[in-house]
Amino acid sequence: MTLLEAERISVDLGGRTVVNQVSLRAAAGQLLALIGPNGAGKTTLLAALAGLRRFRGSVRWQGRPLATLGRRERARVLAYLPQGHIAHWPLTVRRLVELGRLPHLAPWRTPVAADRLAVEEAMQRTDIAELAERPFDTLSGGERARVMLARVLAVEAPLVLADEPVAALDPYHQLRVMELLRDYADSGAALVVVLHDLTLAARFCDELLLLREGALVARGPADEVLSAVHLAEAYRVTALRGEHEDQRYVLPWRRLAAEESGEV
Amino acid sequence: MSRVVDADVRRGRRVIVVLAVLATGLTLAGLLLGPLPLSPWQVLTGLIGGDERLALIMLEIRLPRVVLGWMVGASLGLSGAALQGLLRNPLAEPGILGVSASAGLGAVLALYFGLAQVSAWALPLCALGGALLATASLAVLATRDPNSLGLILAGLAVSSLAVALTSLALNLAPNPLALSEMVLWLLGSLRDRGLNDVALAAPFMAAGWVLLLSAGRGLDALTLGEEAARSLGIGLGSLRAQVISGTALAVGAATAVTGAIGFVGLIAPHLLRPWLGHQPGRLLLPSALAGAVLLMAADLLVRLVPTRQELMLGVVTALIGAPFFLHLLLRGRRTLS
Repeated sequence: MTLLEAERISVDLGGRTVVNQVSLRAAAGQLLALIGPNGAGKTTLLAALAGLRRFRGSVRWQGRPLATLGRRERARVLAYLPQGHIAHWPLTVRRLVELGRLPHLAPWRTPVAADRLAVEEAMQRTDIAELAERPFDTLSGGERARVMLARVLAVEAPLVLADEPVAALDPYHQLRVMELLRDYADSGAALVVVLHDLTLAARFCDELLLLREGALVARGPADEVLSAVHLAEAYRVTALRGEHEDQRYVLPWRRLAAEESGEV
Repeated sequence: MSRVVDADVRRGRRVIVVLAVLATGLTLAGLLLGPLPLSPWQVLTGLIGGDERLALIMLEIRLPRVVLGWMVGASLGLSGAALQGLLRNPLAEPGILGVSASAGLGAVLALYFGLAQVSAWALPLCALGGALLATASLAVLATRDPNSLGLILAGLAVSSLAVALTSLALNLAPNPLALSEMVLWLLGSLRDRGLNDVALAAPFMAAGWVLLLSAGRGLDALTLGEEAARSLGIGLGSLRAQVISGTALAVGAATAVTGAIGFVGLIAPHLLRPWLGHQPGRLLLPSALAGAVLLMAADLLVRLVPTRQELMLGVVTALIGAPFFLHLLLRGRRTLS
């Protein structure tokens, strides 16, 4: 069942087209990776899908234009993890994760058992239960990233858009978070995740979308998208590849000189 | 785990109870103490209008002063907490940012152009307009340049302009009372206000309180930044409008009757954070109570300290508040960014 359907999305920023005619669809149970070099338009595309940028084209949620959903309804359907892990006040971890329940709370009502359960579960899954009473400003970068992910999971939305959820994490927690995102998708949700690690994208995601200069260069399973030609064109690198335990890995190895990359 | 949350909530309730007890104590002190020693019985007789002379003292002098202390203090504390939440900056405050001064300017202009004689509502409405203009322009400036320095400089510009224009208006006024009026609008006082002042300010303040208190959830979400807040279903435009108009109503009405009183809105939320944490929504109501306590305590100080002339309330709050502000600035070099 297709949950999210985006058609020919374009975003202009400061007179420049940053995202150009990108279409994608995400079905229940799918984990999609949005990959591409810096400045390719991944973050802008994700924010447009979340309804946070003006765009041309259409975004549909289960066939309905996303813009026709009410603000709160949309917030229950779609959870968005921005880059940067911002908390302007040093709230405790638990209080921050609780903010994920805001779309579910009626005005003036306090959280009910279901809300608390969602918060506890989100903290367990992201390995931050023991940090619950710590103020945010005392946490390491990796801990902050997991807190923000827990905040997004606490929404319990069927569609999650996450911008670089593993960027600040150590290898252990990168794997842990990817497993968690995979599980979340397997439970029936659709996820679109911006990733820089090509191996993680190849191993855990159903489909990869490669962006370059705002346009979709390739879309499909990892084998096709991470071809030598694509890597050279989009990333200007060559990569080592291999297989281990029936899974592919791709390891960027060497930069291409400027004249090589254009016409490989 | 839920026990931890409960402990948190219980601590919040305890703080509110302590503040309510303090406020009640200060209310009683405000009613019982004065240049003319009155017994509790005489105070009560005066309040219910049993004796004409006692009623004059209680209903014309002491009661309005205490009630205004509550209302103005609560308005300032609440606006300070809400502005800090909206601008995500612990240095935001209606006094420092020039909102109070702009409201004072509105009031002075209403007097200068004779509008105040046309209708009793003219003065509070003009004060409110001044506060609205100041808060809205600050919100625009602070959104464009979100760091502390930018905000403080914008506030400095707004308040300097308002003070200069207020001084100009009073300077040019032919009225010999202008000088004492100037002192009031620039420094603020609860002295010689009547129950009619209370009645004039109350509806505006109440409307402002409702707007500010109901902004809690949105301000909480804003902790995560504007995009995350929007993704959580918060309408940023309406949240901004709510806090700006709420602040304008509360501070505008407060300034219209008591002049500009600074720093209460800065200090109140800061005093509470060690106990209640930093969540903006949870600080709103306690900050209102703390503001009332602070203002009534300062007013009691003004009344009881024997000086040749009664101190202006705004002077006392500034004497306490300005060093506090400086302390925050110095500490902020490390923590505010």
